[in-house]
Amino acid sequence: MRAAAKRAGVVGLAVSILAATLGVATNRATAPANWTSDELKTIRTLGLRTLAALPPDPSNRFADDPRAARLGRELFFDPRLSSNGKVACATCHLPNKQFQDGLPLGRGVGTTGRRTMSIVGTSYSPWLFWDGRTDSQWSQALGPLESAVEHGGTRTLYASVLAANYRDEYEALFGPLPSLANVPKNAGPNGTSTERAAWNAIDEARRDSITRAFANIGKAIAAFERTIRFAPSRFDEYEASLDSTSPKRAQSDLTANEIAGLKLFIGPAKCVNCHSGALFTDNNFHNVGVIDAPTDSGRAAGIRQALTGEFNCVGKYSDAKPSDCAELTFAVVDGPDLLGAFRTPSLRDVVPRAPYGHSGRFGSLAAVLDHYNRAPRAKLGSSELVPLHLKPMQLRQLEAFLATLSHRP
Amino acid sequence: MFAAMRPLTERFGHRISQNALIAAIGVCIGVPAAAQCSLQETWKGDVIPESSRDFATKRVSAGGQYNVTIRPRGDSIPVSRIHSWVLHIETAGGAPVDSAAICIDGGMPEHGHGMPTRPKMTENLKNGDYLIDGMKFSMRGWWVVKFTVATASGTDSVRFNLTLK
Repeated sequence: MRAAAKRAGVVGLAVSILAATLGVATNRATAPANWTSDELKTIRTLGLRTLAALPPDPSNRFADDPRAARLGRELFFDPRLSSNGKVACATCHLPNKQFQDGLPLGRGVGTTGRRTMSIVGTSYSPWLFWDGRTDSQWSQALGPLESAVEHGGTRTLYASVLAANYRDEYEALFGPLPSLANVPKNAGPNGTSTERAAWNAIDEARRDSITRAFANIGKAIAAFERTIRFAPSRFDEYEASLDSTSPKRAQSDLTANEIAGLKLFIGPAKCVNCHSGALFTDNNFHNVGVIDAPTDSGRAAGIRQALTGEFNCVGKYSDAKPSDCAELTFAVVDGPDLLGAFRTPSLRDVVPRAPYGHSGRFGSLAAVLDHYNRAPRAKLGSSELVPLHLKPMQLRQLEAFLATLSHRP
Repeated sequence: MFAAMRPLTERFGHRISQNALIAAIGVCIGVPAAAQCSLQETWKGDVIPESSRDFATKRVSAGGQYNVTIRPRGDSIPVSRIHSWVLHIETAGGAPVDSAAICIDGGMPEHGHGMPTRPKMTENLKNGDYLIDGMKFSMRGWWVVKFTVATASGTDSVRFNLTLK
């Protein structure tokens, strides 16, 4: 008995030494004193409670109108907004999957070239899509509607769907729908050659009124998307518990592995360099050497599209004053950082969101972490990554920490 | 919210990117200043030890032509929000410089990326003051901001260190 206790003591000592070597406590977190003051400052910037109020979207004067959000919700789930009547926004942005689809590449009426991004938290991003080719949620929502491989429809089709199914709700908000008399069912500037020719045959004033209705679809959908928020995670409870006055502290500890992972995340693994702030993203663009198609230049092409986009902040369908459009006015439009760079995704609720990367090439978080640990050279542009030389156990600890970012059911 | 500090030594020893070299050549042959603003450094591999960083808010440009002072508007420099600075430029002799063209660049040498925006000088406020709009820092940490000042008497650049907390 005594020998067994002695053996247990030795094992306990060994565990303590191991834990000390790792700089973590055993089993459960103990005192905030485990963290340096700099680490604590960083951890506090990550807590959901520090998230700023939802930023206004001056380009969409309906952004915070509950009636627009209600209409937007209906439109979001309506498959009639597609060329085959089968594809809604929710087809790829599934509410039970954090508004993404779990597939390497999105599947609408065809297959897209990139992974479907989650919608959650995008109200905080000045740029949308992996390459930031639009500068608002409402202009983002319009892109897939006219994409040949996503919704595949046209502006006149969508205006007719509004007229047939949403006239009252729409007109109460936006005013009269355009007349569609003698307008072809399928006509639009981004469609097939037949659809483009049909669009060009419509007089300019009518095209403008149809396009305005199309833009309003985006504004209503954006109003709905602004209501989609992240919920607190176990990490958030832990972060709040570091405030010694919190009464929840006893219920909010992380495991030793999770804390070790957090230490790596904000320290040697450098994850927080880009996955920063309460949404675990800087909403900026980085080349991390993840390129499958060497022709996909990412932000380098995306900013060009944003600058010239028909529905950007300074365009005629925007409700913003030019002075409201600082992100566009002061955008980085060229330079070495943009080639092969893609937008940093949030890491909140990241575990159930496999596969990862803008092309969905990583099937697991372990594969993502292995990539960052090795930091392979970029096939296009120059990767910002440097090899981390983390040990397998440390990679598992990082993965354990990332799992704490899942919201409570 | 940037720490203050020791007098200037332009000791960055930055590796200048190919584009920056082209820009420098452009300056030598008299290309207008505005054309150079699109050519940015890569902000890779320019890390200097923390103890050697000079956080002064008034510095002499690398070639000694100008004294430059940064005055971020507001009480502190915000993170992830576009804001303005006022840049004050004097000759080496202390006279305000009122006819400068200014290019702004910046980045995080430790992280190898630039600023998330391309700030611009939007107004000459006179008496050596210039309004710089579009400043944005996407995260906390050490940043370097570089101003290239061009006047009829010559082009020179100056770098400032910031630590956003």
